[in-house]
Amino acid sequence: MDPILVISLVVGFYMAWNIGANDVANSFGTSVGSKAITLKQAILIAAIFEFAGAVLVGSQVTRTISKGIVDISFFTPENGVTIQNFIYGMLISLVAAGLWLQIATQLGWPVSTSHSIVGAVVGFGLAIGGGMFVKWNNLANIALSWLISPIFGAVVAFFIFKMIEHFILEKKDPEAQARKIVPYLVGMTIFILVLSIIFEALKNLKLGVPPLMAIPLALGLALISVVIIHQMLRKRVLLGSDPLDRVENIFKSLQIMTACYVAFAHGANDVANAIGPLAGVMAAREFGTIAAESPVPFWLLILGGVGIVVGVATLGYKVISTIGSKLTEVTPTRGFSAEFATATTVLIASEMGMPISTTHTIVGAVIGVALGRGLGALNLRAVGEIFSSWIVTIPFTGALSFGLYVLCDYFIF
Amino acid sequence: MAGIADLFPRSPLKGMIEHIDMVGQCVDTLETLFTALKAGKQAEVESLAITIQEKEEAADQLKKDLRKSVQKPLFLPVDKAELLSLLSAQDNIADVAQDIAQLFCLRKMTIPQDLMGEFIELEAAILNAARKAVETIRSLANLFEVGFKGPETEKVALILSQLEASEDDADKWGLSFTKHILAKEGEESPVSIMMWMRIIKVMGDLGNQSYKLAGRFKALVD
Repeated sequence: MDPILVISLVVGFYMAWNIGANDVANSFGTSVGSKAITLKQAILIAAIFEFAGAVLVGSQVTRTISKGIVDISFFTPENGVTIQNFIYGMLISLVAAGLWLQIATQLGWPVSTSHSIVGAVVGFGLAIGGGMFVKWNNLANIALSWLISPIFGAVVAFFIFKMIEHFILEKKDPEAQARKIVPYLVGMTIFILVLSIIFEALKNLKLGVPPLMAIPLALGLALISVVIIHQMLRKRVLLGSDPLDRVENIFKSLQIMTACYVAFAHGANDVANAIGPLAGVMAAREFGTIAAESPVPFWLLILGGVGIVVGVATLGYKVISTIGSKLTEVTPTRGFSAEFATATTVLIASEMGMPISTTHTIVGAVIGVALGRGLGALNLRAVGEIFSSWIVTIPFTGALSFGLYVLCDYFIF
Repeated sequence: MAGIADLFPRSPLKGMIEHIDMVGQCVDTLETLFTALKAGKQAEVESLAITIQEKEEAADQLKKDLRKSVQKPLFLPVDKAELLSLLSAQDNIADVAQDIAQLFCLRKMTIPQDLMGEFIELEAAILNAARKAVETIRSLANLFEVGFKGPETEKVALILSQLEASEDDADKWGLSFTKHILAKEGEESPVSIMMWMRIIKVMGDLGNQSYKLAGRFKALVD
């Protein structure tokens, strides 16, 4: 077997493993903290839905990462760049990003896996040919989408929470209102989820469904789920002495769904961070040129999905349990608002091909709920520290991959 | 460096409720003390006063801890300064309960038989005002849950109006008791009358402090 191929797969898997270990806890912390799901359920849900998201929706973002950041039209022999340089560079980027994530996971920092890989790719671009290989415009666009993701997450979370407050919590009979409104919340979730599956997944599986069909189909499935949930909630006897406790209990069940939703969205968006550079390598090897558009083989998405699942199972569970035990202050109505906002933002962004950060969106969504007076307290110092760990990520992975590339170039290539 | 979990410190509203629970225990013990007083059991009065003092100190410690934790850079669903002044108002209730208890330890006080009815009314009024204050703060949990709006605020408004009515009663019965104890000039010893004047003043303070808490509470949730 070709050693480069083996190394590529190992390195890609390493990155995916770190994505599973670092990011997943952020998506599940609030669900585990509110005791909506147990740790074991969280792991199981994460494994299934992360994998499904990665495999079904992952390719859109993957294409953006592999071609958007370094300008491959400059990668020509005249400029002193060979296909080998490109392949090594991408692999080194994966190693650098994976290392940074592993450090961050050990230290418990919620850094962005998207930031990590983008920083690393930029570092390699700089090492190989200075500033001219980096598509600064695209980088600025990506950076902009990272600014947008927490803001978008915050705005959506704020409005979802205010909606829950307005239509359920502040009503005379919040329990009866919850039984009425919750089915529609489920319907909304199903609608967005189905839409993104149809748009992306079926494209991957070459089952092209025309977009005009997609909306009625998603709407239909959403309506069916509204009816089913409505029936289920009508008969269900709820636990809790206080009507407000019973409302929170309804939202606990809802959080199981949003946890799946976040896992799916996370898989869809973040698999690209491992697979994007790998897809570029595969295309370069196969066609002998550095193609502007690297096709993403289906099996690569599967590799990424498996890597994330292994990351969840080996390290992620530890992080989830630590975070979950500290997040008991986030009640199900609040947790639902943040999770729903996160998953929706990330799925829409994935649809648009923006490699936004799940972590940034979650932190933004949490701040949105707090601004809606939904949290007992929000630690502003922690917000500041998390923001600064985001700022550190790009220079760090950039410098690391730059350094690694220069070292390898000197000693090996 | 901070992780996601560090975004969510313990809710200070929970701390407020913990504190008022301790204040509530002071008020409950004060009621037991009044029962011992009416039965003329001075030794029991004095040991209950010690219990109240211990609980007051415990409340004080909770107050200090909470104040310290709130002074970090936190974003709260309510105004921080108003939260802290509400906390002081809570603590004042425990302080006054302790003051009342200690006055009854300075000297064995016997309630004149013909004033017993008025004393009981006064006692009931101030205890009720203090209990409504405790209940008001406990409602913070639900108020926060529903976003400080809707029918939950009506429930609290009802408690607050009961508190205000009790405070009016306390003023009324305090005045009446004072008038009648002053009329006993010559019958009761001057020291005893002087002591009763102080006691009635401090008992009235329990109503006043509860009333002040109601005002702070309204400022906080509006």
